[in-house]
Parts: sequence; structure tokens; C-alpha cells
Amino acid sequence: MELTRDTALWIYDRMTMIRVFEERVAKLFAEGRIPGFVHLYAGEEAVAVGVCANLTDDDYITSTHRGHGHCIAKGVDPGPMMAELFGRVDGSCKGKGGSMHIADVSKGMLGANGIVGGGPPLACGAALASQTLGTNAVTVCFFGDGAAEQGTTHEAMNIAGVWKLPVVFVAENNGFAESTPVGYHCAASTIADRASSYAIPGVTVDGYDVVAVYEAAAEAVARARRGDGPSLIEAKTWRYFGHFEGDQVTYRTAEQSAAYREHDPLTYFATQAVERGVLGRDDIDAADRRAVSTVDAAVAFGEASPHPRPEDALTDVYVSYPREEVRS
Amino acid sequence: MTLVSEAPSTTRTLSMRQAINEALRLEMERDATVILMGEDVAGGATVPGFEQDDAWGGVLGVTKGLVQEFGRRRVLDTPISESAYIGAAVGAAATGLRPVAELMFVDFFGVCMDQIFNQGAKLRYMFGGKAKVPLVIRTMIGAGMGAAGQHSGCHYSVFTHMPGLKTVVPSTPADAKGLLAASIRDDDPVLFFEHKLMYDVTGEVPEGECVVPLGVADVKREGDAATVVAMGRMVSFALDAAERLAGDGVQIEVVDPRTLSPLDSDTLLASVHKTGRLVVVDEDNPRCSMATDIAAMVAMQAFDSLDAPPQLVTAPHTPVPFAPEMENFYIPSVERIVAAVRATL
Amino acid sequence: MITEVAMPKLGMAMKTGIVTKWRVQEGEPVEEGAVLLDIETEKISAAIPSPASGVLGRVVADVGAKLPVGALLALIGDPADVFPPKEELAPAGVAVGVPSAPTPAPASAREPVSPAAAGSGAPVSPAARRRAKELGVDVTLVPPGAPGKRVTSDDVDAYAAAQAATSEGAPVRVIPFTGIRAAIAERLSASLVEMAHVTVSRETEVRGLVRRRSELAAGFEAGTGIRLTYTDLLVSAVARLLPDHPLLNATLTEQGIELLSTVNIGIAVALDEGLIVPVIRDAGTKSIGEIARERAELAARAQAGTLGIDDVEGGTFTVTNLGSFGADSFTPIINPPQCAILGVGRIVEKPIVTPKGRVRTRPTMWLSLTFDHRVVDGAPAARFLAALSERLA
Repeated sequence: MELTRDTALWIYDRMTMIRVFEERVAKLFAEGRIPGFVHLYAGEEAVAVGVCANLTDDDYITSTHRGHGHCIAKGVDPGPMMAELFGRVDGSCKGKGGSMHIADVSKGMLGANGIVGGGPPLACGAALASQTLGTNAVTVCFFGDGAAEQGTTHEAMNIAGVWKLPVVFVAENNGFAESTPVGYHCAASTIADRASSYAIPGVTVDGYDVVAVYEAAAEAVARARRGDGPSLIEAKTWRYFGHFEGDQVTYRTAEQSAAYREHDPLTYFATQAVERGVLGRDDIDAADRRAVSTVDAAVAFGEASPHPRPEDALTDVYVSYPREEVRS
Repeated sequence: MTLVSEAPSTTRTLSMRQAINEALRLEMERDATVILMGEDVAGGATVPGFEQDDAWGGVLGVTKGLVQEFGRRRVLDTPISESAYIGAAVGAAATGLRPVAELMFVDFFGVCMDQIFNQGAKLRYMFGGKAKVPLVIRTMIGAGMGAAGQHSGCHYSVFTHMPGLKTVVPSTPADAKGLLAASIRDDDPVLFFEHKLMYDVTGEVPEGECVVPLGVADVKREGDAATVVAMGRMVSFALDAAERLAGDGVQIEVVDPRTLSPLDSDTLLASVHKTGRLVVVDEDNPRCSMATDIAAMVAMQAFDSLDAPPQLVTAPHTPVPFAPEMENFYIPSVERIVAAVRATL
Repeated sequence: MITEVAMPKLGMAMKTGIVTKWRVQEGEPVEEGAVLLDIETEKISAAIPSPASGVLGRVVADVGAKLPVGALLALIGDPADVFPPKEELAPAGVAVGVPSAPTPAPASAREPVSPAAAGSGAPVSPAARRRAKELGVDVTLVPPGAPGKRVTSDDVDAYAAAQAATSEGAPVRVIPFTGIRAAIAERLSASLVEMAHVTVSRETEVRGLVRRRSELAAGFEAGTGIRLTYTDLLVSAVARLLPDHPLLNATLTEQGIELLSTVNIGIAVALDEGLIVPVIRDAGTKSIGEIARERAELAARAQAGTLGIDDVEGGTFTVTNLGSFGADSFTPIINPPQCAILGVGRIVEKPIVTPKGRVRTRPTMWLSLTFDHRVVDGAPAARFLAALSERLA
């Protein structure tokens, strides 16, 4: 393991924060305290965290409907995130987006996205802006195995290849597009194989091994920063919860889930880091406690935030527009 | 280009094509974050000899000459991947550029609607106002070229329906220049609809920077007998109808909304209050359209000023046909406008 | 079972009625005896009770239709009944209220039943309605620019301008020419056309009348709270005289001159809407007090609009007093089928040369008797005036 202590600590800190956040959201949702519906990231933490460990606040990511993990990995404050899930005025999107559109442009987080395959063209745009403005920023495009079959994803990888855009496509292959297995919906044997069509590097990594993800992303991000163009990383992973909260997950067996839980990415990384002396057990315990207290504080923040006024629905459609026309 | 000696020194005669090209050039000179992107906006990318030159300059030559001045980093030919480059334009707009993307024909919105409608239009709102999308999508509209079902529609009503988008339909070269400048400077996504049969229409256009604000209608001809609201190419048809009716002593008022979203309902209503009669001329299909929208707005807000039911002169509820006889039948005619006005008198 | 609702005959002289309002809409339930519709006759407005219970299955007569007595107005039946379409039942009425139209338009059963359409029958634009309201014009009187066209705001402007021109710039207000006003016009012009009007007048001393009122008034008013008027005394005097002048208490029919056995005196009452003439029956047999009481009650009901048809039917002679409005004399028009009417002017103190050659001031009054010369000649009429003068002197 090549990780420095700081990086290792940051990685574990973020992974455990995502885990605690998502498990709390599952509980709050079951209690009926969160409107709408949510897609949880627990189980996939190593992907978002392993990739984002290579990014700065100036870099961009586009996300998916399962976006909480990406947000936390990119540094979005859990307080406003939780407030957004509650639909409150202090939410990241003032209660107008909710779980599926949670965003923080100031952190380079260009939004969770309710459209499967909605993000890849946007990622190309952010990368194009960086390229045109010469900012050296990189954009990471997270997408699921379901989105791998959208035309937008293919078009985006092609145009990124044509324009040599500083973008890293990260396919989070959790095995199922909703309830449909990747072996059915993907004609190729791996999603990474698609890269050859666009003459860009494509690798498949163990998405349960945060270090493997980190190392693959480091190479792709460096390539993008150099101006050598895009890459595709396929990270094979597993979601602990259903497609959405309430999904009975009848398409997976208990044995499959138990096997993945055995190899939990957080436990695996913690064990490795402690064994190799990069982190101490007390570091792990402290990070776990910090995650709980951070999420406790986030829930308190969210619940304390006022509800929006109904007519707040009429703002933020445009930068400038006659208000009467928005109303009618 | 012919300079008309009688014209004031601050204007000269330009075609619609030249006026749009000039607006793009001026805005790109003014703001380095303005870029053009689209299929063949320069053309001939990577072909030897075209490194700093354009093969086409747009399929109808509207962007010709811009790559020479601004280079291929700012005049981007794209693959025929409307989803990818329209979506990229949205993403770039949200992260610091002011892209002017060209969707060659509006009919192609079918292949990239998600990026316009679910991403570009809604992004600011879904983010609670914490992002902006200063994007312009230029697109060609209109029947009359024998281009048939997939290259001839207007469809601006579809986009006017969508919250978060602004829609602009210029009817003169001067308006096109001023409205395009305003659209590029606007911080919201703007769909800019150019009628393909109007590129060679000429008119007086101010020199230098000029901006026509969005959301301000223009009374193209004053009259008191009836209000004829027309947009795009239909404005010139309405003005022809006005000439014919004037021969019979009927003076109609021709109002061009210029932008459909936002809509300058005040100017439209003021005219209807004056005339008591409304005819809407719209080359778009009739159902859930600008024509019905304006008629409904007037019925609701100017009911007590109406002396006759509003009349709509629109395309039929069909795709655009190919054969010239049928295509001419499809397009609203001056005769139909005259008849509709007479029906209100 | 389907019950037909017909235009009722509300009085002896009623020939036609105008439907002014349906109180129950087609398809709604209705109870026998509950008010079904309002009609207006030449003399009176009346609320017409439903002749049966059930649903108002079909309205045949539109608002505004002028129909003869007996004409079918509506059908009442069970909800399950099949009511024939209006077109098959439509009465042959005429729409009223369009004096400017060259000929009255037939009330087409296909015309929408809308108050605006009741007049000209042409649809009225929203702007025309608004403009008419602004100008105080009754939009139902405004003709469209051309037959079959909608009435527009321009038409309203043109109509108002024409009205203003005819009244030489006077403020424009158009009074609907319907109801009582139209009835008055029709009856009185018919009166002038059919009868041979002659008016005889004389100025007469009314010292006796004034004295008699001053003797009676205070006590009567204290006892009843009702003001005793000169009209009451005049009605009493006229009623007592008329049996001696039977040709003035008569009516001309196809059979001949009918001399009437009772004396029923009509008293003209001025209302904002127009003139109405309630009747005091057998006035000759009633005391002045009874007459005053009855006259006061009828006047109050006339003002309130609650006169019944019987209150205004059956007069045999009319007294009309414009004295309280300051008129000296005038030529009244006979209220058919009567054959005479007495017009009374104001009481004025004037110098009079007495039979003894002295000049004295005396209260005087002009009496004008209009009579139908077909029935009665000048001499008997003048004799009646002379006799009345004696009673009043």
C-alpha cells in the first residue's frame, strides 16, 4: 500500500461517513421523515471515495440518482444534504431538488441526476469549459451499469475522445440496472471493453477495494490533467440496499448479499490499513465516532431548518423573468 | 452588400444571415467565454487546409468566417451527436462558458430533448438557484424549402411550454442581431429560432453592438381595426395582409412578440384593448401552441375588450408535407390572414 | 303525465303577455303553486304559479317572447317523460323591445335564451357589453352593423352617438321601451287612433271643495294617519254625479253604447316606470273616507309594485290630477274602453268678479273633460262640467 497516512485517514473518514449517513437515511425514510424516495449508496463507498481522493474542490463530478456518496466524497457538507432530503430551506438546493438532484456547484458537484445517462454529456461540457478556459480541472463522470447502455453515455465517451476532454468516466457496476442483471442488459463482457470503441483506456477494477480504485483513478486523472484525454474505469461493486428504499430485492439471493457483506469495503480497508501500520485502530474508532456525530449533527441541522413557503416554488426557475409569468 | 446612401450612417442593409453572423462575431469579440459548437458550424475539421478555415460555416453559411477569426477552439465542429454536444453545452454553461450551440434543424430536438428539457431547463431550479445556464441554442425552423417532415417544423411552442427556457423568434435582420446579442448575454438558457427562408431577407441593421431586450414585443405596424399577432416569417405575411386590407380602408395593427418566453403580454393586451379584435398567425402546428396560448391569454385578460372571437391562422395539425402544392397549402397564407381579419370585423 | 303551461288570462282586457323571467330553469323540479315564471302584460307584472308538480321538462317560450293568451309556454311532467323538442312546440310569438327595427323579428326557437339576445336577437360582443355599461346604453336596443352580425362596441358607440344627436347633446340614457311604458304607448296611441277625442274645459271656483277638505282633513288624518287629498274629494264628487250623466260612464262595443251600471273610478298614479291607473270600485256608494283609504292603499301598492290585475281592471271613468305638479290645465287622453276622463289642474287664488259686481279673491281650478265624441256630444259633456263646478264652488 502506497497511501500516506493523511490519504488513508481521509479515505476511511469519508467511507464511514457515507455508510453512517446512508444507514441513517434508510432509518429516517422508514420512519416516514423523508418525503419522496431515495436510492442509497451503502456498499459502493470505495468507488466514490477512491476516485474523489484524487480530486480537488476545483474539479467537477457528475453523479447519478444514487448520489449521496458522491456528494460526501466530493466534500459536500452533510448538514445541507440532510436538510435537502428533508425538503427544508437550508438544503443544498433549498428543498427544490431532493435526493435525486442534490448538488453543490461550489464544491464541483454538478448534481445527482434523475435521468439514467443524463450526466455524461454534462461532464463533457464541464471538461470542455476547463479545457477552453485552461483551468487544468478534471471532470469525473460517475454512471451506473444501467447508464452504460444509454446512447448519451456512448455519445459522450466518443465526443470526449474526439475533443480529448479532461474527463474520467467511472462506471459503477453494481450488477443490476434496477432489477435487471448486467449479464442480461450488457452485450459486451465488460463495460470497460467499450473504451476501445472510443480509443481511450478502459480498465475494470475491484470496486470493493478502495486502494485499487484510488490507483486506477490516479492514473486516469493524471492523464486527463496532462491533456491526454478521457479514460473509462469500470468498478465492480454491490449495493447493500435495494434499487430504492422499499425495493424488496427479490432479484438477489440472501447468500449473494451475505457474501458481499463478508467482504465489506470499509472493514477490509480498515483491517489492511491497521495491519500495515498506516492507521491505528484508534484512528478507525475515532473516524467512526466522528461519522456518527457528524450525521447526528446533520439530522439535527436538517430538522431545525424551516420548511419552505409554498410560494417559494416560484423562484429560481430563471435568473431573470417576469414573476407574473412564472406564477400563471 | 449595397450601402443605401439615404440610410442613417449608423445603419446599413444586411441580410438576416449577415446580421446573425455579425451578432455572433461581436459577442465573441466582447466575451472570450462565448464559444460556438454544432455540426459543421465551421466544417472540414482536421482536413488539411482547413485548420483555420471553414468548409461550410454552417449548413446554410450563417457562421461562415468566424473560425478564421476565433479559431477552432472557439468554433467547434461536433460529431452528429446532438445529445452529447447539446448536453456538453449545458454542462459548459453551468461551469463558466457561454456556449452558442447550433441544433441544425429544430426537428432534431427529438434526439437530444433530455439534455435540453431535463438538464438545461431544470438545472437551475433543481439546484435551488445555485447555478445558472447561460446557453443559447440556435436552430432552424420553417417550411417552404421542400425539406419535408423532419427538417421543416417550427416547434417553438414545444420549448415555450418548458419552464426554465426562454424562446426567441426574430422576424427582421435588426431584431435577429439585437435579440441574439441579448440571448448570449442572458444568464438563462435561450432557444433562438431562425427561419431558414429568411436568411436572405434584408433590412436596415444598426452598426456595432446593439441589444434588443428579451420580453419586449414590437408593433410592426399600427392600426385600429384588428390586432394581428404574428411571429417569425409570419410577420412579413401579416404586413402584406395589412397592405391589402389598407386598400379597403381597414388598418390592422401587426404585433410581433419577438420572444415567446417571456411573452410581452402587456403590449399584446394593449393592442387588443385598442382594436377589440385578435388574429394570431403562427406557422407552428395548432394544438397547445403559441396561437392558442395567446388567444387564451387574451380571452382571459381582455374579454371585455373583444368585439369578436379570436381567430387563429396556423399550420394544420399535420407534419410538413413534401410536394410543393401540399407544402404551400400547409403554410399560412396572406389570403387566409386577410380572411381571418375580415371574419373579426 | 305532461301538463301544459299556457299564457294565462289575467284580466278581462288581457290579450297578450310577455315572458320576462323564468324562475325555474328547464330540467329543474317545480312544485304546484310555486312561482314558475314572471310575465308582463300591458297593465301589470305578474308572478305565475306552476299549475302542477314535477320537473320543468321543456321551456317553449323564450324570455322576451310576446305571446297571446293561451299560448304554450312550457311543459311540466315526470323526469321520465319524453318532452318534444322546443322547435316542435314553439309558439308564434314576437320579440319585443326593438322600436328601431323596421319589423318585429319573429322569436325564433333556435335563438339562444339569453337576456342579451332577447332584444335584437343578435349576439353581443363582450366589448359591446362593457361599452354599453360605460355609456348607460341598454345593449339590447343596439342593432348590429348588418343583419346576422354581432353587436360590437362600435355599434354601441354609433347608437349612443345617434341618441345624443337626437337629444341635442343631452346626457344619453336610454330607457327600455318595455313593460308599462310600452303598454302606455300602445294603449294611448290606440285610444287616439280609435276614438274621437274632444276636450271641454272650464275654470271654476272651488271654494266649497277647499272648505270641505279643510273641515274634514285634520280629523281624518288624526284618526287614520292618511292624508285626505283633493283627488279624494273630486273622485267622490265625480262618482256621485256620473249616474246623472250615463253617457260619460259608458263603453262603446260592437253591440253599441253600453251604459254601465256601476261607477268605478280610475285614479292615475305616477310611478317612475310610468303611469298606472288603479280603480276604486263603486266609488259612488263609498264615503270620502273610504275613498281616501282605498286610494292611499292602492297608491302605496302601486309604488311597491304589488298591484294585482283586478286592481287595475274594470274602470269606467278616470280622474287624473296634475295639480300637485303645478299644471293649470291639460288635455287628458281617454283610457279605453272608457269614454271619458277628467283632468284636474292646480288650485289658484284669483280675483273674481262676483255676481254683485265686486272683486274678490277665490280659489279656482281648471277642469278638462275629454270625451269620445262617437259616444257623447259636447253639450252633455259641458253640462257634466257645469254640474261638477256647482258641487265644487
